[in-house]
Amino acid sequence: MDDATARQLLVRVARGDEAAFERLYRAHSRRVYAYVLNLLKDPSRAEEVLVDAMHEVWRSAERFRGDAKFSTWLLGIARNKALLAYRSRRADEDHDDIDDLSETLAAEDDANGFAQLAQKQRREGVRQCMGKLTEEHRECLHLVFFEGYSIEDVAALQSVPENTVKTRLFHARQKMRNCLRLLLEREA
Amino acid sequence: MNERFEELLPWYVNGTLGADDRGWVERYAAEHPEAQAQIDWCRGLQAHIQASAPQIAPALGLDRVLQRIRRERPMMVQRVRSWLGALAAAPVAGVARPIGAVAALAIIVVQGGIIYQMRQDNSAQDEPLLRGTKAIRVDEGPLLRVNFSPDAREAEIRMLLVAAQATLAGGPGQLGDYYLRVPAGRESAAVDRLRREPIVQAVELVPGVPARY
Repeated sequence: MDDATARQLLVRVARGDEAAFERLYRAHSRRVYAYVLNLLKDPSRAEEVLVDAMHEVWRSAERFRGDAKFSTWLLGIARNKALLAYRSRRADEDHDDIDDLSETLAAEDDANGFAQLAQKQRREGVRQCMGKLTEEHRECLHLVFFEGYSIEDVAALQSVPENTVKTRLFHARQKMRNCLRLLLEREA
Repeated sequence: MNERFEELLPWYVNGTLGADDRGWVERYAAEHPEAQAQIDWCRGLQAHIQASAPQIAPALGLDRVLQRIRRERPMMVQRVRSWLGALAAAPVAGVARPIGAVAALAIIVVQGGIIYQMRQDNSAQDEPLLRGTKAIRVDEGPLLRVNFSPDAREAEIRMLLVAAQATLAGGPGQLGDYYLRVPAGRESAAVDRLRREPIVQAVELVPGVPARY
C-alpha cells in the first residue's frame, strides 16, 4: 500500500471508519509484526505489541501530522510499545552478545573472503546471527535492509544522530560477518 | 577499506543513496574488487533479512483490536444518549406551547472524541466528523416536524441535527414525529438539508409542538 492511500485511509480512521481501519491493518500488520519481532524475539509478545500499536493508531489517527511517511509514524508507535514490553521482560532473558567475536576473528576484507561468505551464508545462519546482536544493531539492520529506510528516517525513528546510525550499522555488519564466518567454519 | 565507501555502502544497497554518491560508489567498486565483493555480500544479507521476515495472516490480532475499539464505543454512545434524553424531556404535559413561548433551550455540545461516525459505508460523501468543542444554542425559531425512517440510527440522526443546525424540541411521539427547532431565517435551508437525507421520510414547517403527540 502506498503512502498516499494509507494517509487517505487514516483520515477516515480518524472519523471512526472501521472498514478503513481494517484495510490499513491488513496492509501493515506484517511489517509491524516483523519489526517488533525483530526487537523482542518473542512471537507472542510481538503479537501483543502489534495489537497495542494498531489500537493506538485507531485512537491517535487524528494526531498524525503528515510530516513523515505513514509507515514511519506507525513504526514509531510500534517502537514505543515494544520498548515498554521489552522493559517488562524478565532479567534472565538476556541476549547473547557477540562483542567478543569481533575481537577474536581476524578481519578478512579481501574479495575472496566476502565472496565465499556471500555464496555460502544461508537464511537460518543470518537469522541466528541477527538474534545475537544488540537490540539497537538488530533494529538498525532491519530498518535499513527490510524497510529500506534512508539514514534520516532511521535516525528519526531511533531518535539518535545520523552519525550514531552510521556507527551502529558499521558494527552491526562487522558482527554479522564474523558470526556468519564462524558458523560456516563450524559447518566445514 | 575506504571510509567513505563503508559509510555509503548500506544506503547504496538499499537504494536510498543520492545520484552523486551512487555514482561514486559504483566507480569505486569498479576499481576495487574487494569493494564489489562487499556490495555483493551486503545484498545477500539484505535478501536473507527480507526473506526471513515472518509470514503471518494479515488479520493477526485484528479481532482483538476491534473488540477493544467496540468496547470503548458504548460508553460514549450512552453518554450522548443520556445527554439527548435530558434535552428531549417534555415540559409539563397538557400545556399548549405556542411558537416563541416554548423555552426550548436546547444546547447540543459536541465534544471532541465523544461523537463517532457510526456509518460503516465507504462513501466519499461521508459526513466530516466534528472534532473540537462547538455549542449550538437555539432558544426560539421556526419549528419543523420530521419523520425518520424506521431503520435510522441514532448516530445518523445526531449527525444530521448538527449538519442542519437543528435542535430537538420534542419527540419522538407515538407516530414517530420529531420536532426540531432551527435558527430564524434558516428554515428553508434546514428543510432542504433534511429532505436530501435518505433517513428522512418527511419534513414540514409547523406552528408549534402539539400538547399531545
